[in-house]
Amino acid sequence: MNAINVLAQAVVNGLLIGGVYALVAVGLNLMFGVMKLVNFAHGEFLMMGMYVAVALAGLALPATFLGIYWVAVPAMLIMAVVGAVFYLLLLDRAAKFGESPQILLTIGLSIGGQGLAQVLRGSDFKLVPNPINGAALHLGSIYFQVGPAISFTVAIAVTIVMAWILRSTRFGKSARAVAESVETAEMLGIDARRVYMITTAIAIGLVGLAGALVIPYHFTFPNVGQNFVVVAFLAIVIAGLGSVIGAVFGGLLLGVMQSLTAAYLDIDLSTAAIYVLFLAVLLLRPQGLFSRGQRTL
Amino acid sequence: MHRFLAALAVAGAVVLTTNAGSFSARAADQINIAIIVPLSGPNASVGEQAVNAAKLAVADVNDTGGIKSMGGAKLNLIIADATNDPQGAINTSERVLSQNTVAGAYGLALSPLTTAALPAFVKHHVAVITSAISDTLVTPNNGGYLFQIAPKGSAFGNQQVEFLKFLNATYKMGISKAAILYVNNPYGIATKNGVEQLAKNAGLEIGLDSAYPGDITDASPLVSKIEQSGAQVLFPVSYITDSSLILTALRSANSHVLVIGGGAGFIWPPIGKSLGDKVNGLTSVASWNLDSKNVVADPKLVDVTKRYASAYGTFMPEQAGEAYAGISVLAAAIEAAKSDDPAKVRDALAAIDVKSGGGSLMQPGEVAFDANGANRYVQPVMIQWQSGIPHTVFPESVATSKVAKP
Repeated sequence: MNAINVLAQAVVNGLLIGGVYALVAVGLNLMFGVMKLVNFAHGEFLMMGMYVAVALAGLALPATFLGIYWVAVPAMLIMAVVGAVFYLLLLDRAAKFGESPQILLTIGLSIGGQGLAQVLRGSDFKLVPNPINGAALHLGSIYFQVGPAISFTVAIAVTIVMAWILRSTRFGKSARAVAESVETAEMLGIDARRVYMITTAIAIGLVGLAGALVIPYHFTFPNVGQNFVVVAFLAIVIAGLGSVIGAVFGGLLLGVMQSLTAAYLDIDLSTAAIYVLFLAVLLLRPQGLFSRGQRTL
Repeated sequence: MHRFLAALAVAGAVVLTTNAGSFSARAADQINIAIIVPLSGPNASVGEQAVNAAKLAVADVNDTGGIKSMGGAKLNLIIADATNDPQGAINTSERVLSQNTVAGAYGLALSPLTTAALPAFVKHHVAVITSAISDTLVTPNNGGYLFQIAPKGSAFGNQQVEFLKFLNATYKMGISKAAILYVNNPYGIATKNGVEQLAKNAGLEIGLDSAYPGDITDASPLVSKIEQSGAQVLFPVSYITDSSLILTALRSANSHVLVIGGGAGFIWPPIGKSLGDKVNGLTSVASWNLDSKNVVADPKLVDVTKRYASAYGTFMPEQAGEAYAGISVLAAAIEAAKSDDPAKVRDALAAIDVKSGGGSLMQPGEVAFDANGANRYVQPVMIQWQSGIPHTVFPESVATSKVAKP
């Protein structure tokens, strides 16, 4: 491989894995932007989405090229319902006691969720055999892994749809109003609790979608969420807390940074590199690279 | 709501119980032995495999008359979660050993956990048999209470390089340049050190020598580096998720590099299930395999592997084979000591030479420990996936199948 190809392949690899980080980060940042809530159980909802998708994939068609992806929409919808229930049964009640109980609740769910998954599904690694795993498109000497490429494409599409929803729909306008000021929004007749429920449903639905898109090429196991969500957390801080579009750029940026570090320095430094960037952003631009200093849904 | 919370509470209680271990009271006619392995976290499946096999071994001992030198006393298996964290392994070991009278123990499984928790075993004078492979575990400084039933990490590298020489000689593959990728922990480093030195000694040029973090989500950058290095053979030392990612990325890149896996992720059942037919032909080194010559030669040992498969729905994997052999060796030591006094069991382990029974499941069919606790006889085996199951193909002294050209 010549120098140009090495650089191009590293950027492609980074963008593709960054698409997965972005898809996980979007829901995380949506919840923070609207609800001011850091959902520490987001990784466990990703894990749950993967288990749901694996279970659905076991029902039919996993051996066909796109058959493995039929599960994406049902998994997203199931997880959206889970998100709504999560809000109504737990977050809403915890909110009566302030923000800290909500945060502690998500931390508890994160720990308990891994244990619960292990009790219910065992600690075994699950991956449905499918033709996506290992498939690639080759352009000259550059290759694109099909599974991550589909995740990347969906991440971009989701970002566009989310941007449209937030800018142009009644719910989006309500969500932005609530994000600015709950009290003012409620004075204007907006039902903040309903906005919060829909926001949670969308956020958890999106991470369910992410889970369904990841299962063709990544094992599902009780702790799998942590592998992705830690980078997603860094992505939203680097991009700017509360910025949905920023979350996507943050995910892509970290994916590319990891890949370039691996290509030109050492893959063992790829995690350290994104933490260095994280610290630099906190020191030099604490509001985030893509934020204007306030929450920007 | 209440039901959901109740379910959560039950699940939490189950998890906490698992973490705490089952501290059953010791009855006069039973002998406590402990298995302390990761049962939560990313390596929980390793622990589950070991626990499944340990239960089978204990049942086999008890069903055939228990510890005869102690009037047929039954073994009681205390199961505890070492977690995935060295501090967790220390806490669990200390708790189990201080709250129970334990004749001996098996477990820890991972080198970092074993290194961290060993002082607790030394403090309580309880011997522990481990499947962890790091060379640094079996030194004069280990306190004398550690017995390593698995081959040393450095021996894995030796076997991989010998296997490559065999392939080069048999199939005229002309491989002269190697890449080594290893997960950055004591297991990875120990195995990598063995491979690197022996590969150099064998005249191989090392084109790439790179560690990587164990929680990678994409192996494409690793594969790019392999391609850039011009290596013809890859020696990866990986767990299950990273091994799958590496194999997937190699396929995506249309790489023709020969993979000689470093065990663990390359030989466990999930990799076979996930890759389907594509797993066939993949080779790897292994601590143990279910069809080595010593196993196939003994119908009782074959029956053990069949009963494991029947009970747990998968072929008996490496960690399970080692656990069955380890628990059986521990039972033999208690038998020889005629006591459940852990100090006497430790001395019996140090002097033991097992040539039959469950302990002989470990290749080459005999287990004895040297002064540092290393298994005198064991050598790693090379396996090749054929028809969806790992078959022992090298060295000839233990192989039962012919290697197909990878």
